[in-house]
Amino acid sequence: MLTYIIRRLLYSTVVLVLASFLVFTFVTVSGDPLANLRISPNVSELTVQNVIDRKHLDDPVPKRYLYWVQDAFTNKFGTTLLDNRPILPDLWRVMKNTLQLLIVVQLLVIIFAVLIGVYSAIRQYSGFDYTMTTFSFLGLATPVFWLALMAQVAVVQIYEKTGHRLFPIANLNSVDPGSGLDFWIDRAHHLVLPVLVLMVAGIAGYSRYMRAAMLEVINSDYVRTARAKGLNERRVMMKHALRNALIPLVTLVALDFGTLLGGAVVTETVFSLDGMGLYFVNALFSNDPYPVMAFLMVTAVMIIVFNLVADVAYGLLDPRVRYD
Amino acid sequence: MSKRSLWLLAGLVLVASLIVGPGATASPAKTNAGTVVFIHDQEPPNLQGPWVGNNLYATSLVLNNIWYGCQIRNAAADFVPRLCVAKPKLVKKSPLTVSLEYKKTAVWSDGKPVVAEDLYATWKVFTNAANNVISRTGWEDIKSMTRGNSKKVTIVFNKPYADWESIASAGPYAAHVIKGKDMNQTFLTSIPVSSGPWLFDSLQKGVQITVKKNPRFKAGPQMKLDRLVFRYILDTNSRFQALKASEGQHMEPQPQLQIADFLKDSKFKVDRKIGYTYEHIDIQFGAKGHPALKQPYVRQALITGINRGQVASALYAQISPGLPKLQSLAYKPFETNYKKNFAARPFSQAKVISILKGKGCTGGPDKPSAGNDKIFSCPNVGKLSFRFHTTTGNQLRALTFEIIQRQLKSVGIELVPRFQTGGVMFGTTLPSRDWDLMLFAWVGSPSSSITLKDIYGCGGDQNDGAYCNRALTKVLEKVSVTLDAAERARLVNDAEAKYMVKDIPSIPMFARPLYTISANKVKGMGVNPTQEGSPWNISQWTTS
Amino acid sequence: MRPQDREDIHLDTVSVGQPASAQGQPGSVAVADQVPVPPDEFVEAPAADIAAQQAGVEPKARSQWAYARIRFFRHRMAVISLFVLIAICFVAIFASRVAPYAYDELDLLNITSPPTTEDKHLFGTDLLGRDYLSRVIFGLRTSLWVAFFVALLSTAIGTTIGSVAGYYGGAVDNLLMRFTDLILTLPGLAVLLTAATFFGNGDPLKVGLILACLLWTGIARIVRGVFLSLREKEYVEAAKASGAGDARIILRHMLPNALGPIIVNTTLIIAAAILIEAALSFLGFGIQPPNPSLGTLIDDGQGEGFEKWWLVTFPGLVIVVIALAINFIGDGLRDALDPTQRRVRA
Repeated sequence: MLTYIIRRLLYSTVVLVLASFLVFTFVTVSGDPLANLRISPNVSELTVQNVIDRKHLDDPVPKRYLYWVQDAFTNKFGTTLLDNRPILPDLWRVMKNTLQLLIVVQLLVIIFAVLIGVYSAIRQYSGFDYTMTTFSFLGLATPVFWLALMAQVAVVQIYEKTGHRLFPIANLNSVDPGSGLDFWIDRAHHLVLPVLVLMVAGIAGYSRYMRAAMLEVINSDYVRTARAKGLNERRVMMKHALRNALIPLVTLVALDFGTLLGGAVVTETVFSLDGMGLYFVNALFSNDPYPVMAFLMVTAVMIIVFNLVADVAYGLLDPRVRYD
Repeated sequence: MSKRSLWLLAGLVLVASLIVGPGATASPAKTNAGTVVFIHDQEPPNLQGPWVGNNLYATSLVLNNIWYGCQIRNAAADFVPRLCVAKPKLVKKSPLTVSLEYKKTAVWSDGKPVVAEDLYATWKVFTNAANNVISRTGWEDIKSMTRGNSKKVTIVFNKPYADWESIASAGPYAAHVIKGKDMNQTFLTSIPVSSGPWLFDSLQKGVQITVKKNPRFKAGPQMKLDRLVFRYILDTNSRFQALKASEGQHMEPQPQLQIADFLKDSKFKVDRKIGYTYEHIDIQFGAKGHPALKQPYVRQALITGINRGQVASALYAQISPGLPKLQSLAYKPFETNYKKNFAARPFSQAKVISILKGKGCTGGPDKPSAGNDKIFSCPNVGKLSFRFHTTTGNQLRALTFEIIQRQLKSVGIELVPRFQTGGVMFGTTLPSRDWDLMLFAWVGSPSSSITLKDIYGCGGDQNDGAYCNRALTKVLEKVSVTLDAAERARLVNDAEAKYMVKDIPSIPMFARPLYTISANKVKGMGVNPTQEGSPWNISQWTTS
Repeated sequence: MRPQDREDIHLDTVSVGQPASAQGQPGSVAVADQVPVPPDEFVEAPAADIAAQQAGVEPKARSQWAYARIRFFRHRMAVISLFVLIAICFVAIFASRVAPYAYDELDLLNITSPPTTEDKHLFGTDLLGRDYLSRVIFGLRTSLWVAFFVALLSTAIGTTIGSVAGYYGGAVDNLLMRFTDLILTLPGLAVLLTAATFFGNGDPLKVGLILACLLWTGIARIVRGVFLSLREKEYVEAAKASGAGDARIILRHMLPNALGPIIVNTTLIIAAAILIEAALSFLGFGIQPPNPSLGTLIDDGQGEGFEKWWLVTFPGLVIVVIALAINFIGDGLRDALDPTQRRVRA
C-alpha cells in the first residue's frame, strides 16, 4: 500500500514537471506578455526594461522555465509579471472561497443524490423515479452558465417588481458584512444562488449514479441471500445494499473534488465570487503567464492528491481491491 | 406517485428550505445612509497609481481624490483650480518656466501643509530609474524645481514641453510620507494621508475599496457622503444586474446596449457625453500589408465606401441617438478645436465604383447592390480582399465589422474577419505590421493632439501602420513643442486637412460615448470625460 | 476485481467498477461547473466485465446488432430523441434553405423586435435587425458541427491510442497510458481556456481541435481495457499464428468487440462538446463573431439586456433540447449495446 502510494506520487511528480514545462512553453511563446504595456502611450522604456530584466524576458524559454521553477520553489510561485505582486497569498485567498463554496455544494449534493438515488432504486419505475429521472436528464442538459444567468435575472426581476430581495446576486459578502455570526449569515445568504445553481447539475449526475449503483447491489446475489434469510427489508437495504452502493459514490466524489477545485469558472463569473475560477480568468485576460502557471500547478497537484485519495479510499472500503 | 414518495418529496423540500431559509429571511444588504456604492469593472491591482501593471483608469478613480491636483478637469474637460489659488502660469517660454501656488488651506490629512517640497518629491519619484512608473514623459524634461516649505513652486524645463499644464496640475505625493521609502513597495495596500476630499479607508482584495470623508480637507467643498465604496464586479451583465438589485448605486458602464433598459427605467438616471476615446480603422502601409492599400485611390475607395454615419447611428440608436460620426483624427466633436476635416470624404457607393473603374480595376459590380458578390481586382495590386483585424469580446466592434463588411461588399470590396484577443492583437499582430485593416480605439485625452506625431509621424513610436509623410511629420513635430494651445490647434487642423485627409492613414469612425448610471436616491453624479471620472465633483454627491 | 495484466496497473481498470475514472469520461473537462458525472448510470464495464460479456455474446455479429436494434427501439425516449435529433441535424445541414433569412442580413429599420409572426421573425430580431431564428439556426449549425467534429476526432484519437496500447501492451502500453494520465492530470477546463486564449482565435475548427485533444482519454481507456482482455483469446492467437498483420487483427478481430462502448461514449461526447463549447463562448474564449454559435448568441444576447429576453432564452433552450436528446439517445444506445446493463434496467 505504502509503496503503491509512493510510486504513484513519484510518477505524478514526473508528469507534473513535464506538464508544467509544456504549459509554460505554450503560454509564453504564444503571446507577448508585455502587450498590454506596449500599447500604453508614452510608456517609459526604462520601465519596460526593468520588467524584462526582473522576469528575464529576453532569455530563451527553457531558461525562463528554470527561473520559474526556481521561483516556484524558493519564492512561493514568485510574483506577477507587471505589478510584481506575490502570487501565493492571492491564490490562497481565492482557494479558501472556492473551497467554501464547493464543500457546501458537494455536501448538499451528496445528501440529496443519495436520498434520491436510493429511493428511486428501491421504488424503481414509480412516479418518484420517473420525476427524478426527468429532472436529472434536464439538469445534465442545461448549460450551467445559462441556468446561472436565468437564476440571477429571475431574482433581480422579482426585486424590481415586488421590492422583495430574495438573495444577493453578486459577490461573497455585502458591503458591510459585520463580524462573527453576522458575517457568516451574510456569507451564507450570498452563497445561496451559486450553490443552488451548482447543485442542479451535481444532483442530476450523482443521483443517477447512485441509483444505478443501488440497483446493481439490490440485484446482486448477496442481497438476495440476505433477503432469503428473512432479514428485515429495511435492514437489508441500509446495512447491506446502501453501504456497498455508497463505495463507488465516495470514490467518485473524491475524484471530482480535485477537478472541481479548478474553479466553478462560470458560476464564479456570473455571480462575481472571488474564487479560483475568476482569478484564473482574470490572469488569462491580463496575459500574465505567472499566475496562470501557479494556478495550473496548484490545481494539478490537487487533482493528483484527490485521485490518490479516491484510490486509497476505494481500497480501504472495498476489500476486494489489493494494491501490489 | 405513492404516498411514501410524496412524504419523501415533502422531506426534501423541508431540508431544502432549512438550508435556504436563514439566507432568505436575512435582512437585505444594509448600508449606512451616507454611503454610496460605486460598481466598477476592473479592480486596481494595488494603490500605487501610475505604476506598471496598474490599471490606469480604475486606479486613478480611487487616487485622484487622495493625491489631489493643483487643478483638475471638470465635466467640460476645462481646468479648474483646486489645491492651487489659481491656474498655473506660463512665466517664460525659453527656457520654459512655469509657476503655481498652493492654497494656504491646502493641507495633508495629518495636518502638514502641502508645499513645494511635495511636488519636488513627486518629480523625483517619476524620474527615479528604479521606479517602475508607466510613463516619465514631461517629468524627465524638467530641469529644476523649487524646494522647501514654500507654497509657491517654480518649474523650469530643459526644453519646450507642450503639455506642461498636466505636469503642473499633477497631484503631489506627500514628501514627508514617502521620504526614504522604496516607492515600488509603497502604497500597495493602503495610503496614510490625503490632500483631497477623501481618505483611504480599507482595501478588501478581490471585493472592494472603501474611501471615507477627509475631515481636514479645506481647500474646497468637503465631501457630504461619509464614504464611497468601490465594489468590483468583473462580469458586465452582473454589474448591471447588481445595480438593478440595489447592490450598488452608481456605475460608469462601457457603451453597452443594456444601458437602454436604464434609460427607460424611472428608478435610474443616466448621464452621457462623448468621450476622448475614438474608434478608427488603421490602414497598413508596410511591406506585409496588402499592396493595394499603398494605392491612394484604394484607400479613398475604402473611406468612401464605408457609411460611417450609418455605423454610428445603427449601433448607438438606442443608447446614444444622434451620435455624430467622427470627422477628425485629432479632436473630438465636443472640443472647441474640432473641425470636420474628413467631411471631405463623404460616403458614396457610386463614387467607389467609378474611382475603381477609373483606375482600371475589373471584376466588380457595375452598380452597388446588397447581394453583390463580385469583387474588384486592380492592376498590379490584385484582388481587393483585405484582412480585417479587431478584438474579440467587444460586441460593438463585432457589429461594426459586420456592418462595414456588408457596406463594402456591395461595392465589390471584400473584408475577411480576423478576430483576436486584445493581448494577441496589440501584442503580436499590431507591431508585426502583418495586417491590412485594423479596427481599434485610441484612448484620447484633452492633450492628444500633442502626441499625434507618435501615431502618424514617420517612425513614430505608435505608428504601426508604417504611414509616412515627411511634410506632415514636420508639422506634427512642431506641434509637440508648441506651447500655445490655439496655435497647436491651427497647425494640427491645417495639417489634417492638407495631408491626412488626402493620404487617409486611418479612417475615423466615432468617439465613444461615456455613461454614468445612478440610482435616483443618490444625486450629483455625471460624466467627466477625462481621467478624473465621475467622482471629480464628489463634494456634490448626496444620498437621501 | 483485481489488477489483471501487470502489477503497476492502476485503478483505471480496477477502480470503482468504472474504469475510466470520472475525469476520463465525456462531460468531465466538460460543462464548466457541472459535476463531471456522465448522464445516467453510465458505467463502462471494466475489462473483466467486458470479457465476461464477450464470452456470453451471441456468436453471429448480425444477430447481436439485430438484438441491439430491438432493444434500442424499446427505449421510447431514445427513439423520440433520435427523431428530434435527426430533425435538428436536418435543419442545421440545410440551414440556408430552412432559415427564413441569411444570418447576417441586416435590417436596420427593424432592430430588436420581439418575436412576431410578421415577416417570419418568430424569434424576433437582434440589434442589427437580423432575424434571430435564422441566427439561431446558423448558430446551431456551427455548434453541431463543432460537436460532431470533436466527437469523431476524439473517438478516432482515443480508439487509436487505446487499441495500440491494449494490443501491444508492455512498454508501448505503459507509455501511452502515462500520456493519457498526463492529459488527465491537467485541470481540464483551465487548460481549455488557456489553449483557447492563445491558440483558439475564435475559429470553430481550432476550438474543436482543442476540445478533441482533451476529450479522447475516456475512450482510449475503454478500448484499451477491451483489448487487454482480448489479447490472450484463442481466436486472436489463431489469427496471429495464421500470419495476419497487426493492423488486420486490430481492425477485424478486436475492434468490433469494443464498438458498443465506443459508440455510446461518442454520443455522450457530442452532448458534452455542445455544452463546453457554449460555456467557452459564453466566457469569451470560444467561437467568435461573425460565426454565430449558440454560446456566442447567448453571450451577445445578455449584453443587450434582459428586456430583450428572446435573445438569451431561445439559444439556451435549443442547447437544452439538443443535449437532452443526445443524452436520451446515449441512454438508449447503452441499453442496446451494453447487455450487462440490461439486467439493471430489465
